[in-house]
Amino acid sequence: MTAPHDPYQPARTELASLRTQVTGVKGSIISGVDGLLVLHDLITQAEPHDLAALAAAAYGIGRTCGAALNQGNFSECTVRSQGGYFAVYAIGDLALLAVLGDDGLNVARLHIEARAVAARLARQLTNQAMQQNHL
Amino acid sequence: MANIDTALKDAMSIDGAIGVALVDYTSGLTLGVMGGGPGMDVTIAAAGNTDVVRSKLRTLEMLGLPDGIEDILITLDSQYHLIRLLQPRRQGEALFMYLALAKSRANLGMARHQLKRIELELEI
Repeated sequence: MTAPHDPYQPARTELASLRTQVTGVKGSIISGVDGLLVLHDLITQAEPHDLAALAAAAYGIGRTCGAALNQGNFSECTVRSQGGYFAVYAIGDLALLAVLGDDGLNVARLHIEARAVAARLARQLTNQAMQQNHL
Repeated sequence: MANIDTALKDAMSIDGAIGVALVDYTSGLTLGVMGGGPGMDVTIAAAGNTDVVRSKLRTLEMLGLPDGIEDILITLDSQYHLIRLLQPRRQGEALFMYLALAKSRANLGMARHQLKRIELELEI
């Protein structure tokens, strides 16, 4: 008997690598732009569904700014609070990558890694959508 | 007294300089970069070396050494990477100067000396 195939495994690996490679990352989630959770990789008590909703809220403000200022589509948004960071990156046009970090986060490193992760996830998502259309 | 741009230019005038960055190691973000090129993205180097600096500071803490880091030297096959921690002048300031040098053209002693002088003259 073969193990059931998990189509999200490559995406899970990407999220885990973000947490292990960047100092201060406490976890991350992937959600739709509608705020619904797709999958998460969190090692804290944070509620993944809440983070998905917050990511969508950040996306909403970012998209409004981009449209009002004529600067194009949403790309990313970072919120720094006194006790930590919350960063949201666009995965293509339909999904978001949100990362939770503590106040010691290496945010420059996160931007470098997360932009690459978001681009790879966008490609995976497109490939999966195409495969499903062919079935 | 020199501002950030002047300090970066001075650092780039050191013999063998490839790239230089002034980095805030609480966030890994750069206050300024100069030089670099296709083979060396100074911004990526700054973010990566933030982890190096933090790791060494943590090690000293674990060892219980009540001492500070003046500079960190990383020797590659063809380059020197010199990281000089700046003396904090106000609360919460945590900066380092990162300098990449071509080994064939650089004088390490001179470079360290010049970097020290640039730090003394730098006004932020």
